[in-house]
Amino acid sequence: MFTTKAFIKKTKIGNFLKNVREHYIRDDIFCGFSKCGKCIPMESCLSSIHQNKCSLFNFNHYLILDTNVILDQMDVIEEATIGNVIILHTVLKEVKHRSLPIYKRLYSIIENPSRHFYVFTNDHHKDTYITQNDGELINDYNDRCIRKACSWYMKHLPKEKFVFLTDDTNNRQLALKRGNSFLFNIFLVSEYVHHLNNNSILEDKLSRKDFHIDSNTKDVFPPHLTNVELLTGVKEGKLYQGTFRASRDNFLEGFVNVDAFNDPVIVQGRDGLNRAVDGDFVVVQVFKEEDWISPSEIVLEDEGVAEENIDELEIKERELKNSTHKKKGEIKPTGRVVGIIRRKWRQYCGILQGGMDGVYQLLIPADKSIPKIRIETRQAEFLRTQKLIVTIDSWPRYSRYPHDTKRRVDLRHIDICSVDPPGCTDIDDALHCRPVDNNKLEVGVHIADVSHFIRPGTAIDLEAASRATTVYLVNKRIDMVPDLLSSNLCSLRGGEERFAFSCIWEMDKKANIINTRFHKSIIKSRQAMTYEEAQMTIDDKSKVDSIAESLRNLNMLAKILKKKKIRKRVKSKSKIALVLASPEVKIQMDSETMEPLDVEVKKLFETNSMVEEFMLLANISVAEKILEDFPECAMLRRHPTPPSSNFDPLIKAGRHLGFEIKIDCGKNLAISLDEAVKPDNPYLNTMLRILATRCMLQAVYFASGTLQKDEFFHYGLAVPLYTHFTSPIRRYADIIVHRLLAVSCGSDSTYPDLLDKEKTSKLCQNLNYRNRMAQYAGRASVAFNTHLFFKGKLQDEDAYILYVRKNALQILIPKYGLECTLFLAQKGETSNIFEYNEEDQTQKAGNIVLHAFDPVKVRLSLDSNNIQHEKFVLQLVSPCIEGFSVPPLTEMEVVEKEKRRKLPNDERKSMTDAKSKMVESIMAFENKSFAGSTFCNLSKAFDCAAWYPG
Amino acid sequence: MSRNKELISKIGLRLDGRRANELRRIRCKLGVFTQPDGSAYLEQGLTKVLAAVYGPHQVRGGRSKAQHDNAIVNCIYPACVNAATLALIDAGIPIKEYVCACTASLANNDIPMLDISHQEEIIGGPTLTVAALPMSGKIVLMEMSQRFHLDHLQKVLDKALQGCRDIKQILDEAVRLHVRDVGCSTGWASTS
Amino acid sequence: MPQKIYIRLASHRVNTSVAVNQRYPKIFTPGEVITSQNEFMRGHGTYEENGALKSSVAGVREQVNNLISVRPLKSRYNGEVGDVVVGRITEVQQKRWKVDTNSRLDSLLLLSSVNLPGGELRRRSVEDEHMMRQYLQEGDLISAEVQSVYSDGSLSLHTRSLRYGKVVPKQDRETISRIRNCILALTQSKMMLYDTSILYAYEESLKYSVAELLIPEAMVDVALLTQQRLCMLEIA
Repeated sequence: MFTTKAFIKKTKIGNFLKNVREHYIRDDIFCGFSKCGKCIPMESCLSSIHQNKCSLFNFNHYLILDTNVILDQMDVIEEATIGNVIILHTVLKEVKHRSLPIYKRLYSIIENPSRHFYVFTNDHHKDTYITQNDGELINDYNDRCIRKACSWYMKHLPKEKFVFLTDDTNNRQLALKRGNSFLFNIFLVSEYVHHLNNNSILEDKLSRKDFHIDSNTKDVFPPHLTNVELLTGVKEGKLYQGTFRASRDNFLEGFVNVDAFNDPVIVQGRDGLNRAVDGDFVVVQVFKEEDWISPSEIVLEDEGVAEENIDELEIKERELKNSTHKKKGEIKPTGRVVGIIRRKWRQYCGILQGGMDGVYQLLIPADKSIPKIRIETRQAEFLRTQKLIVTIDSWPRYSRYPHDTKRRVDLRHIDICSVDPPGCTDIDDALHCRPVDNNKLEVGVHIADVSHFIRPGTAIDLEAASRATTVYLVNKRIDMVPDLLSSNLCSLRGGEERFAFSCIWEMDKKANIINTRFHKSIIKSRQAMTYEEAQMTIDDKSKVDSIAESLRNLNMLAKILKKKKIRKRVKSKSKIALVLASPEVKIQMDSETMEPLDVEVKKLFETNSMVEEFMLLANISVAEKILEDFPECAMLRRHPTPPSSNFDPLIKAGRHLGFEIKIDCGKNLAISLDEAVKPDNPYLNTMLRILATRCMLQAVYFASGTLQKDEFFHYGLAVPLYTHFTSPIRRYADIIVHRLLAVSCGSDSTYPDLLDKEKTSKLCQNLNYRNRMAQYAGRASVAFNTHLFFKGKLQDEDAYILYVRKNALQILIPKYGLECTLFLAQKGETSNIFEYNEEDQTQKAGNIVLHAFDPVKVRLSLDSNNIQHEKFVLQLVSPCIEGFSVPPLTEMEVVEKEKRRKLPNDERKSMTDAKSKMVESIMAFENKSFAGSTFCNLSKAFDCAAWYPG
Repeated sequence: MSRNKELISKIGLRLDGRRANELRRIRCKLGVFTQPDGSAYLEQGLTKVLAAVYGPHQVRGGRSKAQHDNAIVNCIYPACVNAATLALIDAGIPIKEYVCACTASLANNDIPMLDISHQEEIIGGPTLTVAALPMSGKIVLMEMSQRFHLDHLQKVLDKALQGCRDIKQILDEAVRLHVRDVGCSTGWASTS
Repeated sequence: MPQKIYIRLASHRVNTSVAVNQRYPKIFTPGEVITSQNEFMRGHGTYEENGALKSSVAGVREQVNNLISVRPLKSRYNGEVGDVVVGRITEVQQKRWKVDTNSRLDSLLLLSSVNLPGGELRRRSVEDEHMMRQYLQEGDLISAEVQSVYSDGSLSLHTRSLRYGKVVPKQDRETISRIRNCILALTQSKMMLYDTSILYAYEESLKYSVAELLIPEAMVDVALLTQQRLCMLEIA
């Protein structure tokens, strides 16, 4: 082996820096062909059996790809028809440098042995290494390296045929000039793919750069600045960079969060947005202060049919402009997007927009914050009813671990029971309480010992870590761990011996903790109870067995604990409000007829809060323990204090109603919320709580070493430290916490990743992302079912006004947890009935004034005109406003509608907005890169996503 | 980890083309200066070290610090240890055996990797520096740049010791060549 | 007066080796086992570990009866009685000077071992002790002869002859410089230093000025010519 060095000059900002790196040239690099007798054979996926069938040649051949081919034609390369590809290391490096996502996709192909890809390290091979000439551009040098490697292959293996694919004309010319073209087969990708057998799918996937640009079309968007301009602009402080967030209600408006300003920068209109998509990292130019505006209060939806149809867009823009004004005190920095630094495109779910012929089609993404996407396909007819969906990887077969009772405390003799909602099969927690000496009580919380079964680094563990949480949909559950574990082996079922992780406190009768200990245990739950059963056991004075006694004691302690808290738990109260108001209402459906069986709000018993209280206590105790033992890598949960500006809408709403909402601390907020009651409007308090909940930030997991100690605070629970310990069956964070705690109490050993702060932090990011997605999927599932329920139905419902907007009212229907928009005016018009009062947030029509939180009656129906974005249409029933509201439905009409509804059942197949959203969330949830994406019927897709292997 | 950069590619090559158990190129020369009693020049990859030994001579200044039977050599880079060993041998100072130093790290959180280059060190991963007496296997010094899990220690340490043995082999060859050269010139007489 | 300074890259170094191909004896390096038999005695450059005799320096083995030692080719000066040395005064103490002679420890020159003006048998008085610095002070170069070797290996010198003492005259100094440069040239090419070799080198160096003798090419030239003459001497 002989060595030499390469010199690389690197420029840093302003400075020239010479970087010298070692570069070793080797003679032991394998060419990848097992038949070659010259090289030292090593592992290679190239296959002599695989055939690339292309009508350009009458022989089998191996492909060598140029960098630009990989960058531009990844979709083609991902097709399994293409195999036996040699990827040069030079190319691989260039791809990595240019685009990390493409690199990752390429890598997953290389790692798949059935694709027969081989990476040849040409830059370290003694025969293919060449030095960079003075003044030679890196691109030219790389091209030369690629050509050198190609010609080497041809000389090295004269019996094999090689085809070099490139789209770079210059490189192609040089290659042709250099080698003799009889040996050297060089083609454009399009030529090659065109002559492949079965090429129809592939040809669709060919990306085309040479879009036909008609010089007559006017520019729809202003051009972006060049990278250099952007960088210098940002450096000089003339431009600002930040993440672009599309507005939820208005497709022509968005915000960019910029560090330099307290408020996000508003960007408005087509020119302002300038092709930015939700999530992109963009550069904005901020206007002069006199041009600043306040956010519009208008709801706009993109209804453009064809791409060329800019006229309608312009109407909407005008509408937006008219509605824009400068409200004093609410003027925010305003600007326009001048460039995009990093796109954050992901896979989107959507359907084709109908009514277009030819190969160009518009795809309407389900997510409204994403603009329509133009695609080119020859299979439009086929695709019209189709949708893209991901496949779930198979779950490895579960292997049962031998039971060992070592290092476990035997608690089988203790009377332990579990209390859960009815129908719960994954029981993670159980409780006990028994008197011990000196008038003390021993309280134990026993959590399923999932970490005993799921060992770190195993396939089951990796899959669970990537799933992060169990997803609960209406009548469906996507488990995080296999069913056998979640519903049987880990589940603390009544009357069966199970492994548990116990947290045991010794308390006095005043619920003061005297000591805390943690250990693994083996328990036998006496009974798995529902909340209701437990409540009845407590209340039934005739029952005096040990279970009843311990439940009574627990209940007594829980009450003291709750009272003792100086803090008021804002979050848990607003949670109750959420149950009433957000789509988290429980709908029980008959799967056959889609009849709602139960839309009632869940009943709450004392026992609910009893269990909750002890779970909180266990979580807090565990958080303290693991932080003490692992100051750097403990996995904790924090809930950041929301910035006070978040509460503005709440305070404003409160003020209109004559309440003062204090937000200086969680305690005062809770008190002022408690006081905001009006006897004539019992739902008002709940709505205020809904608003309060929306002001909150998301609670997140984090690794203790990544933040300062004062940032650990949990705002909602008002505790300095918190973590998740009590639900390891359905949350992965709990499994990690179990492992940490097991190390703390000496019953398990560590493993490298557990103690790695960076790894833990990365894991937290995934958990947070997945949790959010799971939540979205759950809500979307409810929304979808609600839509199904209302299909063809017409109904009058009691409702409340949540917000008053300029052209609409946000209406909340508590019965279904629905929040809809009631438009007050037709598109593009200003209402001549209503008068909008900005100061008081009211709409006035004649002598009727509509305030926020006013009760109203609305007529609810479903608008199915736009098949993907089915939406509820509301009409005002009462108060009665001349020329706007509709008369109440008579009994007759309801019956009529009801009948009609039962007729066509095939309607269910249609896609609804909610369903797409759900599928998209699940897709994001099952975020696997799917090579060779399958088209599949949507309804099937949903079943697929919910299908649980193993 | 930014970190998530791969230090060893799928094909088993490191960023500079070495395999996990390969040292960087070592070139060395003894007796490069005339003034000191012993001197050596050593190149390990792009690290270049000149070492010079003055003495042994009368202790100048404070007598209390004087130690007659041992000496302490402070080094910054592992390569310095190797160069110092050569310089001591060149000076004819008795030592028990070669002292060699080598670094090892963990690539992709799994594969132990020998002789970390500057580039690799920047990218990340814990670096274990070991100075050892390769023949008897005794460890003179061991130092870690950051924490890593105990499970990994043994394999990384083994790798570093392997590196020390390899380095000793290279140094020994250089010493023999040098002695032979000098011996032939002087007719195997002693010089001072 | 501006002086010419020569700077060159390491890669342009002159190879100073004048080694001729010879058979060479076995070379031992530190830590290497010399013998595992235990009938031998441990000499210089060796140590015992686990019952084996090992080398502690890089050099060649020498054996006197049962005594095995390894001699490094380069080490500090090990003086013997009768050697004539050139040294530099490093310290003036009571009744003695310390002299750096490039051995491990500084050599001693006792007040009683120098010829003072006024005859051999003059008694050393207290005044003489005060006058010591007037006679020889720190930094002075002297030539002397090794009188005896102390138990710790340090040397005792004397200058009781007119041949020895402080080196003064200008011409002498130039000669000394020339000899020094010749010696440097010889050592750089790893040649033996003894009367004949130094003499030859001196003669061959006369075509260069003293300063020119510091240029590597000139030094190799001198060394080469010297070696050729020595070879011819051997043949003759």
